[in-house]
Amino acid sequence: MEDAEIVDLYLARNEDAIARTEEKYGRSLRKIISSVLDDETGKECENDVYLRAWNLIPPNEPRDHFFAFLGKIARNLAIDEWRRTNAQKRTATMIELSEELQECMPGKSNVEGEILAGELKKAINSFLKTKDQEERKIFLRRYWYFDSVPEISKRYGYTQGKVKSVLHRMRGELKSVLEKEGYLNDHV
Amino acid sequence: MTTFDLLCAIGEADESFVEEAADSDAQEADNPSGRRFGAILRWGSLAAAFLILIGVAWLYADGGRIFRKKASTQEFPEAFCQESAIQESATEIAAEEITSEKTAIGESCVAESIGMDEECVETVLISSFQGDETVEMTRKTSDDLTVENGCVFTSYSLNEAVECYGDQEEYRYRVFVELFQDGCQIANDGDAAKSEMQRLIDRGYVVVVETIFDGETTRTYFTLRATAGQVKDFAADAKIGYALWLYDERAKGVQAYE
Repeated sequence: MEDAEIVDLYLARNEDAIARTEEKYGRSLRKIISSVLDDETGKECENDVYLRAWNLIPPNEPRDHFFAFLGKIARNLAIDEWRRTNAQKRTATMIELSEELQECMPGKSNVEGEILAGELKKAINSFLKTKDQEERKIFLRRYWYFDSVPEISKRYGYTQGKVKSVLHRMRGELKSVLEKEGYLNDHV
Repeated sequence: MTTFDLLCAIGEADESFVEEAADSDAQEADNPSGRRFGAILRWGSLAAAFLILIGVAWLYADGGRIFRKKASTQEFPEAFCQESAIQESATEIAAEEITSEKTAIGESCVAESIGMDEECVETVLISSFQGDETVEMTRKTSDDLTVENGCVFTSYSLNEAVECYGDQEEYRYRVFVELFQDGCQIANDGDAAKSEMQRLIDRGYVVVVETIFDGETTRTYFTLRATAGQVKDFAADAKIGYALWLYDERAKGVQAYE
Protein backbone atom coordinates (compact mmCIF):
# COMPACT_ATOMS: atom_id res chain seq x y z
CA MET A 1 0.00 0.00 0.00
CA GLU A 2 1.28 3.45 -0.89
CA ASP A 3 2.14 5.90 1.86
CA ALA A 4 -0.50 8.36 0.69
CA GLU A 5 -3.17 5.66 0.97
CA ILE A 6 -2.11 4.81 4.52
CA VAL A 7 -2.19 8.48 5.46
CA ASP A 8 -5.68 8.67 3.98
CA LEU A 9 -6.72 5.84 6.31
CA TYR A 10 -5.47 7.89 9.26
CA LEU A 11 -7.33 10.93 8.00
CA ALA A 12 -10.49 8.84 7.66
CA ARG A 13 -9.92 7.63 11.25
CA ASN A 14 -9.81 4.07 10.00
CA GLU A 15 -7.98 1.90 12.56
CA ASP A 16 -6.69 -0.27 9.77
CA ALA A 17 -4.15 2.51 9.27
CA ILE A 18 -2.12 1.26 12.22
CA ALA A 19 -2.02 -2.31 10.96
CA ARG A 20 -0.94 -1.13 7.50
CA THR A 21 1.72 1.09 9.05
CA GLU A 22 3.11 -1.72 11.15
CA GLU A 23 3.03 -4.05 8.17
CA LYS A 24 5.01 -1.67 6.00
CA TYR A 25 7.35 0.07 8.42
CA GLY A 26 7.21 -1.89 11.68
CA ARG A 27 10.52 -3.62 11.11
CA SER A 28 12.40 -0.42 10.29
CA LEU A 29 10.91 1.36 13.27
CA ARG A 30 11.78 -1.54 15.58
CA LYS A 31 15.36 -1.39 14.32
CA ILE A 32 15.66 2.27 15.31
CA ILE A 33 14.04 1.71 18.69
CA SER A 34 16.02 -1.41 19.55
CA SER A 35 19.27 0.51 19.14
CA VAL A 36 18.28 2.69 22.05
CA LEU A 37 16.06 0.57 24.28
CA ASP A 38 15.90 -3.01 25.43
CA ASP A 39 13.32 -5.34 23.85
CA GLU A 40 10.61 -5.00 26.47
CA THR A 41 10.66 -1.21 26.66
CA GLY A 42 11.10 -1.10 22.90
CA LYS A 43 7.85 -2.95 22.30
CA GLU A 44 5.94 -0.44 24.42
CA CYS A 45 7.70 2.35 22.59
CA GLU A 46 6.69 0.94 19.21
CA ASN A 47 3.04 0.91 20.27
CA ASP A 48 3.43 4.50 21.41
CA VAL A 49 4.73 5.41 17.96
CA TYR A 50 1.53 4.21 16.32
CA LEU A 51 -0.59 5.95 18.94
CA ARG A 52 1.36 9.18 18.46
CA ALA A 53 0.97 8.91 14.70
CA TRP A 54 -2.76 8.36 15.17
CA ASN A 55 -2.97 11.52 17.26
CA LEU A 56 -0.83 13.62 14.93
CA ILE A 57 -2.60 12.70 11.68
CA PRO A 58 -4.60 14.89 11.26
CA PRO A 59 -3.70 17.73 11.47
CA ASN A 60 -0.46 16.55 9.81
CA GLU A 61 -0.68 14.91 6.40
CA PRO A 62 2.77 13.46 5.79
CA ARG A 63 2.04 11.90 2.40
CA ASP A 64 5.45 12.71 0.94
CA HIS A 65 7.68 11.74 3.83
CA PHE A 66 5.60 9.28 5.82
CA PHE A 67 8.47 7.08 6.92
CA ALA A 68 10.59 10.05 7.99
CA PHE A 69 7.59 11.28 9.96
CA LEU A 70 7.18 7.93 11.72
CA GLY A 71 10.92 7.44 12.16
CA LYS A 72 11.27 10.80 13.80
CA ILE A 73 8.48 9.94 16.24
CA ALA A 74 10.12 6.57 16.98
CA ARG A 75 13.54 8.08 17.41
CA ASN A 76 12.34 10.87 19.67
CA LEU A 77 10.19 8.59 21.82
CA ALA A 78 13.03 6.10 22.19
CA ILE A 79 15.54 8.76 23.15
CA ASP A 80 13.07 10.39 25.55
CA GLU A 81 12.41 7.05 27.21
CA TRP A 82 16.11 6.38 27.42
CA ARG A 83 16.61 9.79 28.96
CA ARG A 84 13.66 9.38 31.32
CA THR A 85 15.04 6.21 32.78
CA ASN A 86 18.30 8.11 33.19
CA ALA A 87 20.12 5.62 31.07
CA GLN A 88 20.06 3.06 33.83
CA LYS A 89 20.63 0.36 31.33
CA ARG A 90 22.60 1.84 28.48
CA THR A 91 22.88 -0.07 25.29
CA ALA A 92 26.24 -0.51 23.68
CA THR A 93 24.99 1.50 20.68
CA MET A 94 24.22 4.55 22.79
CA ILE A 95 27.64 4.43 24.42
CA GLU A 96 29.34 4.18 21.05
CA LEU A 97 27.28 7.02 19.61
CA SER A 98 28.01 9.24 22.62
CA GLU A 99 31.70 8.59 22.25
CA GLU A 100 31.72 9.30 18.55
CA LEU A 101 29.65 12.46 18.78
CA GLN A 102 31.92 13.72 21.51
CA GLU A 103 34.36 14.38 18.67
CA CYS A 104 31.94 16.93 17.21
CA MET A 105 31.68 18.89 20.42
CA PRO A 106 33.31 22.26 20.02
CA GLY A 107 33.95 22.71 23.71
CA LYS A 108 32.18 24.06 26.75
CA SER A 109 29.08 26.00 25.92
CA ASN A 110 26.32 27.59 27.91
CA VAL A 111 23.93 28.09 25.05
CA GLU A 112 20.34 28.16 26.27
CA GLY A 113 18.56 24.92 25.52
CA GLU A 114 15.72 26.24 23.39
CA ILE A 115 17.89 28.56 21.34
CA LEU A 116 20.36 25.74 20.94
CA ALA A 117 17.83 23.25 19.63
CA GLY A 118 16.59 25.55 16.88
CA GLU A 119 19.99 26.82 15.84
CA LEU A 120 21.57 23.43 15.99
CA LYS A 121 18.90 22.00 13.73
CA LYS A 122 19.58 24.73 11.16
CA ALA A 123 23.33 24.27 11.45
CA ILE A 124 23.11 20.52 10.95
CA ASN A 125 20.75 20.79 7.99
CA SER A 126 23.02 23.39 6.38
CA PHE A 127 25.98 21.12 6.99
CA LEU A 128 24.20 18.14 5.45
CA LYS A 129 23.21 20.18 2.40
CA THR A 130 26.86 20.83 1.64
CA LYS A 131 27.68 17.12 1.60
CA ASP A 132 27.25 14.83 -1.35
CA GLN A 133 24.55 12.21 -1.24
CA GLU A 134 26.88 9.34 -0.41
CA GLU A 135 28.37 11.05 2.64
CA ARG A 136 25.00 12.28 3.78
CA LYS A 137 23.49 8.81 3.64
CA ILE A 138 26.36 7.29 5.60
CA PHE A 139 26.13 10.00 8.24
CA LEU A 140 22.37 9.64 8.64
CA ARG A 141 22.46 5.85 8.66
CA ARG A 142 24.86 6.09 11.59
CA TYR A 143 23.46 8.95 13.63
CA TRP A 144 19.80 9.03 12.60
CA TYR A 145 19.05 5.35 12.08
CA PHE A 146 21.74 4.18 14.55
CA ASP A 147 23.11 1.58 12.13
CA SER A 148 26.44 0.06 13.08
CA VAL A 149 29.47 0.52 10.86
CA PRO A 150 29.31 -3.10 9.61
CA GLU A 151 25.63 -2.62 8.75
CA ILE A 152 26.35 0.54 6.76
CA SER A 153 29.28 -1.14 5.09
CA LYS A 154 27.09 -4.06 4.03
CA ARG A 155 24.24 -1.83 2.96
CA TYR A 156 26.30 0.25 0.54
CA GLY A 157 29.01 -2.26 -0.33
CA TYR A 158 31.82 -0.13 1.11
CA THR A 159 34.62 -1.36 3.30
CA GLN A 160 34.25 -0.70 7.01
CA GLY A 161 37.42 1.37 6.78
CA LYS A 162 35.83 3.65 4.23
CA VAL A 163 32.67 4.07 6.32
CA LYS A 164 34.73 4.88 9.41
CA SER A 165 36.86 7.26 7.43
CA VAL A 166 33.83 9.15 6.03
CA LEU A 167 32.26 9.35 9.49
CA HIS A 168 35.50 10.50 11.08
CA ARG A 169 35.96 13.20 8.48
CA MET A 170 32.36 14.36 8.76
CA ARG A 171 32.54 14.55 12.54
CA GLY A 172 35.59 16.77 12.20
CA GLU A 173 33.85 18.95 9.62
CA LEU A 174 30.73 19.21 11.76
CA LYS A 175 32.85 20.28 14.68
CA SER A 176 34.38 23.03 12.52
CA VAL A 177 30.92 24.14 11.40
CA LEU A 178 29.69 24.32 14.99
CA GLU A 179 32.72 26.30 16.01
CA LYS A 180 32.28 28.62 13.07
CA GLU A 181 28.62 29.11 13.93
CA GLY A 182 29.72 30.35 17.31
CA TYR A 183 28.91 27.44 19.56
CA LEU A 184 32.34 27.66 21.05
CA ASN A 185 32.93 31.35 21.64
CA ASP A 186 29.95 33.60 20.99
CA HIS A 187 27.50 31.70 23.11
CA VAL A 188 29.70 30.90 26.05
CA MET B 1 25.71 21.64 24.59
CA THR B 2 26.00 17.91 25.12
CA THR B 3 26.33 14.94 22.80
CA PHE B 4 22.70 14.29 23.68
CA ASP B 5 21.68 17.70 22.29
CA LEU B 6 23.61 16.91 19.16
CA LEU B 7 21.97 13.51 18.83
CA CYS B 8 18.53 15.13 19.19
CA ALA B 9 19.39 17.85 16.68
CA ILE B 10 20.45 15.26 14.13
CA GLY B 11 17.01 13.73 14.66
CA GLU B 12 15.56 16.96 13.28
CA ALA B 13 17.38 16.54 9.99
CA ASP B 14 15.39 17.40 6.88
CA GLU B 15 12.84 14.70 6.00
CA SER B 16 14.10 14.51 2.44
CA PHE B 17 17.59 13.54 3.69
CA VAL B 18 16.11 10.97 6.02
CA GLU B 19 14.01 9.42 3.24
CA GLU B 20 16.99 9.54 0.91
CA ALA B 21 18.97 7.39 3.34
CA ALA B 22 15.98 5.11 3.95
CA ASP B 23 15.33 4.53 0.27
CA SER B 24 18.88 3.99 -0.77
CA ASP B 25 18.86 0.22 -0.45
CA ALA B 26 15.68 -0.08 -2.51
CA GLN B 27 17.05 2.27 -5.14
CA GLU B 28 20.28 0.36 -5.36
CA ALA B 29 18.46 -2.95 -5.57
CA ASP B 30 16.64 -1.60 -8.61
CA ASN B 31 19.84 -0.42 -10.20
CA PRO B 32 21.29 -3.22 -12.37
CA SER B 33 24.49 -1.33 -13.13
CA GLY B 34 25.03 -0.91 -9.40
CA ARG B 35 24.60 -4.64 -8.91
CA ARG B 36 26.97 -5.38 -11.77
CA PHE B 37 29.55 -3.06 -10.29
CA GLY B 38 29.07 -4.72 -6.91
CA ALA B 39 29.63 -8.15 -8.47
CA ILE B 40 32.75 -6.94 -10.30
CA LEU B 41 34.01 -5.46 -7.05
CA ARG B 42 33.39 -8.69 -5.16
CA TRP B 43 35.01 -10.97 -7.71
CA GLY B 44 37.79 -8.46 -8.31
CA SER B 45 38.52 -8.38 -4.58
CA LEU B 46 38.59 -12.17 -4.44
CA ALA B 47 41.00 -12.35 -7.39
CA ALA B 48 43.22 -9.69 -5.84
CA ALA B 49 43.22 -11.51 -2.51
CA PHE B 50 44.18 -14.75 -4.27
CA LEU B 51 47.09 -13.06 -6.04
CA ILE B 52 48.27 -11.53 -2.77
CA LEU B 53 48.09 -14.97 -1.16
CA ILE B 54 50.29 -16.43 -3.87
CA GLY B 55 52.70 -13.53 -3.46
CA VAL B 56 52.91 -14.00 0.30
CA ALA B 57 53.45 -17.74 -0.13
CA TRP B 58 56.30 -17.04 -2.51
CA LEU B 59 57.85 -14.53 -0.14
CA TYR B 60 57.81 -17.04 2.68
CA ALA B 61 59.07 -19.85 0.50
CA ASP B 62 61.86 -17.89 -1.07
CA GLY B 63 62.48 -14.22 -0.65
CA GLY B 64 60.57 -13.56 2.53
CA ARG B 65 63.69 -13.23 4.62
CA ILE B 66 64.65 -10.15 2.64
CA PHE B 67 61.55 -8.30 3.70
CA ARG B 68 61.33 -9.42 7.29
CA LYS B 69 62.89 -7.19 9.81
CA LYS B 70 63.13 -6.79 13.49
CA ALA B 71 60.45 -4.52 14.85
CA SER B 72 61.69 -1.21 16.12
CA THR B 73 59.91 0.44 19.00
CA GLN B 74 61.02 3.84 17.70
CA GLU B 75 58.88 3.37 14.62
CA PHE B 76 55.73 3.18 16.66
CA PRO B 77 53.93 6.43 17.48
CA GLU B 78 54.78 6.84 21.13
CA ALA B 79 51.92 9.17 21.92
CA PHE B 80 49.37 6.58 21.00
CA CYS B 81 50.56 3.48 22.66
CA GLN B 82 52.34 2.04 25.53
CA GLU B 83 54.91 -0.49 24.60
CA SER B 84 56.70 -3.23 26.38
CA ALA B 85 58.15 -6.57 25.65
CA ILE B 86 55.94 -9.42 26.76
CA GLN B 87 56.64 -12.78 28.14
CA GLU B 88 53.95 -15.32 28.32
CA SER B 89 53.16 -18.86 27.65
CA ALA B 90 50.39 -19.30 25.17
CA THR B 91 48.96 -22.16 27.15
CA GLU B 92 48.99 -20.92 30.70
CA ILE B 93 47.23 -18.30 32.74
CA ALA B 94 49.86 -16.16 34.33
CA ALA B 95 48.82 -14.66 37.62
CA GLU B 96 50.77 -11.51 38.31
CA GLU B 97 51.15 -9.65 41.54
CA ILE B 98 51.53 -5.99 40.76
CA THR B 99 52.46 -3.90 43.74
CA SER B 100 54.86 -1.19 42.67
CA GLU B 101 55.22 -0.67 38.96
CA LYS B 102 52.37 -0.33 36.56
CA THR B 103 53.12 -3.59 34.84
CA ALA B 104 55.75 -6.20 35.13
CA ILE B 105 55.10 -8.21 32.08
CA GLY B 106 58.63 -9.24 31.39
CA GLU B 107 60.79 -9.74 28.38
CA SER B 108 61.68 -12.35 25.81
CA CYS B 109 60.06 -12.86 22.47
CA VAL B 110 57.15 -14.64 20.92
CA ALA B 111 59.02 -15.71 17.82
CA GLU B 112 59.00 -19.36 18.69
CA SER B 113 55.41 -19.59 19.79
CA ILE B 114 54.04 -18.01 16.62
CA GLY B 115 56.27 -19.97 14.30
CA MET B 116 58.63 -17.29 13.06
CA ASP B 117 62.33 -17.61 12.36
CA GLU B 118 65.02 -17.78 15.01
CA GLU B 119 65.39 -14.04 15.17
CA CYS B 120 63.82 -12.54 18.25
CA VAL B 121 61.03 -10.13 17.36
CA GLU B 122 60.07 -7.62 20.00
CA THR B 123 56.36 -7.35 20.58
CA VAL B 124 54.62 -4.02 20.93
CA LEU B 125 51.82 -4.03 23.44
CA ILE B 126 49.05 -1.51 22.79
CA SER B 127 47.21 -0.43 25.92
CA SER B 128 45.68 2.92 25.05
CA PHE B 129 44.69 5.02 22.10
CA GLN B 130 44.66 8.75 21.42
CA GLY B 131 44.76 10.57 24.68
CA ASP B 132 42.89 10.56 27.92
CA GLU B 133 39.72 12.49 27.08
CA THR B 134 38.01 9.62 25.37
CA VAL B 135 39.32 7.24 27.98
CA GLU B 136 37.95 9.34 30.80
CA MET B 137 34.61 9.73 29.11
CA THR B 138 34.38 6.05 28.34
CA ARG B 139 35.00 5.17 31.93
CA LYS B 140 32.26 7.53 33.06
CA THR B 141 29.68 6.42 30.55
CA SER B 142 30.19 2.71 30.68
CA ASP B 143 29.98 1.77 34.33
CA ASP B 144 26.45 0.48 33.96
CA LEU B 145 26.94 -1.32 30.67
CA THR B 146 25.49 -4.77 30.32
CA VAL B 147 26.06 -7.09 27.38
CA GLU B 148 23.60 -9.78 26.36
CA ASN B 149 24.66 -13.41 26.21
CA GLY B 150 26.50 -14.24 23.01
CA CYS B 151 27.16 -10.56 22.21
CA VAL B 152 30.47 -8.74 22.17
CA PHE B 153 30.77 -5.03 22.91
CA THR B 154 34.05 -3.62 21.68
CA SER B 155 34.96 -0.15 22.88
CA TYR B 156 35.43 2.69 20.46
CA SER B 157 39.08 3.12 21.41
CA LEU B 158 39.83 -0.55 20.92
CA ASN B 159 38.10 -0.54 17.54
CA GLU B 160 39.99 2.55 16.47
CA ALA B 161 43.30 1.14 17.67
CA VAL B 162 42.75 -2.10 15.76
CA GLU B 163 41.72 -0.14 12.70
CA CYS B 164 44.73 2.16 12.99
CA TYR B 165 47.49 -0.33 13.78
CA GLY B 166 46.03 -3.44 12.18
CA ASP B 167 47.21 -6.98 12.37
CA GLN B 168 50.97 -6.64 12.14
CA GLU B 169 52.71 -9.61 13.67
CA GLU B 170 54.58 -7.66 16.31
CA TYR B 171 51.50 -5.86 17.62
CA ARG B 172 49.40 -7.21 20.46
CA TYR B 173 46.39 -5.47 21.95
CA ARG B 174 46.18 -5.44 25.70
CA VAL B 175 42.50 -6.08 26.10
CA PHE B 176 40.62 -5.63 29.33
CA VAL B 177 37.76 -8.11 29.44
CA GLU B 178 34.49 -7.93 31.35
CA LEU B 179 32.19 -10.93 31.30
CA PHE B 180 28.42 -10.91 31.63
CA GLN B 181 25.84 -13.62 32.02
CA ASP B 182 22.09 -12.99 31.87
CA GLY B 183 22.63 -9.27 32.27
CA CYS B 184 24.93 -9.48 35.27
CA GLN B 185 28.67 -9.09 35.38
CA ILE B 186 30.63 -12.19 36.32
CA ALA B 187 33.36 -11.96 38.96
CA ASN B 188 36.77 -12.54 37.41
CA ASP B 189 37.88 -14.79 40.24
CA GLY B 190 34.84 -17.06 40.03
CA ASP B 191 34.58 -20.49 38.47
CA ALA B 192 32.60 -19.28 35.47
CA ALA B 193 35.27 -16.73 34.58
CA LYS B 194 38.06 -19.25 35.04
CA SER B 195 36.27 -21.70 32.83
CA GLU B 196 35.84 -19.03 30.17
CA MET B 197 39.52 -18.09 30.38
CA GLN B 198 40.45 -21.70 29.83
CA ARG B 199 38.11 -21.90 26.85
CA LEU B 200 39.76 -18.86 25.27
CA ILE B 201 43.22 -20.30 25.92
CA ASP B 202 42.11 -23.46 24.15
CA ARG B 203 41.21 -21.27 21.19
CA GLY B 204 44.66 -19.76 21.02
CA TYR B 205 44.21 -16.60 23.10
CA VAL B 206 46.89 -15.45 25.48
CA VAL B 207 45.15 -14.79 28.78
CA VAL B 208 46.80 -12.87 31.58
CA VAL B 209 45.16 -12.52 34.97
CA GLU B 210 46.38 -9.54 36.94
CA THR B 211 45.80 -9.52 40.67
CA ILE B 212 46.11 -6.09 42.20
CA PHE B 213 46.17 -5.36 45.92
CA ASP B 214 45.57 -1.72 46.82
CA GLY B 215 46.15 -2.06 50.53
CA GLU B 216 42.53 -2.87 51.30
CA THR B 217 41.05 -4.97 48.56
CA THR B 218 42.33 -7.29 45.90
CA ARG B 219 41.14 -6.81 42.34
CA THR B 220 41.43 -9.41 39.64
CA TYR B 221 41.72 -8.20 36.06
CA PHE B 222 41.02 -10.52 33.16
CA THR B 223 43.14 -9.37 30.24
CA LEU B 224 44.19 -10.67 26.86
CA ARG B 225 47.21 -10.12 24.66
CA ALA B 226 45.25 -10.40 21.46
CA THR B 227 46.00 -9.95 17.81
CA ALA B 228 43.78 -7.68 15.75
CA GLY B 229 42.17 -10.75 14.20
CA GLN B 230 41.38 -12.20 17.59
CA VAL B 231 39.71 -8.93 18.58
CA LYS B 232 37.76 -8.50 15.36
CA ASP B 233 36.53 -12.09 15.20
CA PHE B 234 36.24 -12.67 18.90
CA ALA B 235 35.53 -16.30 19.78
CA ALA B 236 32.47 -15.60 21.88
CA ASP B 237 30.53 -18.23 23.75
CA ALA B 238 26.76 -18.08 23.27
CA LYS B 239 26.15 -18.17 27.01
CA ILE B 240 28.35 -15.23 27.87
CA GLY B 241 28.39 -11.51 27.00
CA TYR B 242 31.69 -9.71 26.59
CA ALA B 243 32.83 -6.12 26.93
CA LEU B 244 36.29 -5.60 25.45
CA TRP B 245 38.28 -2.46 26.24
CA LEU B 246 41.79 -1.26 25.75
CA TYR B 247 43.52 -1.83 29.06
CA ASP B 248 43.96 1.81 30.04
CA GLU B 249 40.30 2.58 29.45
CA ARG B 250 39.28 0.48 32.42
CA ALA B 251 42.33 -0.12 34.53
CA LYS B 252 44.32 3.08 34.41
CA GLY B 253 42.10 4.98 36.81
CA VAL B 254 42.49 2.45 39.57
CA GLN B 255 45.16 3.72 41.92
CA ALA B 256 46.51 0.35 42.73
CA TYR B 257 50.07 0.66 41.73
CA GLU B 258 51.52 2.67 44.55
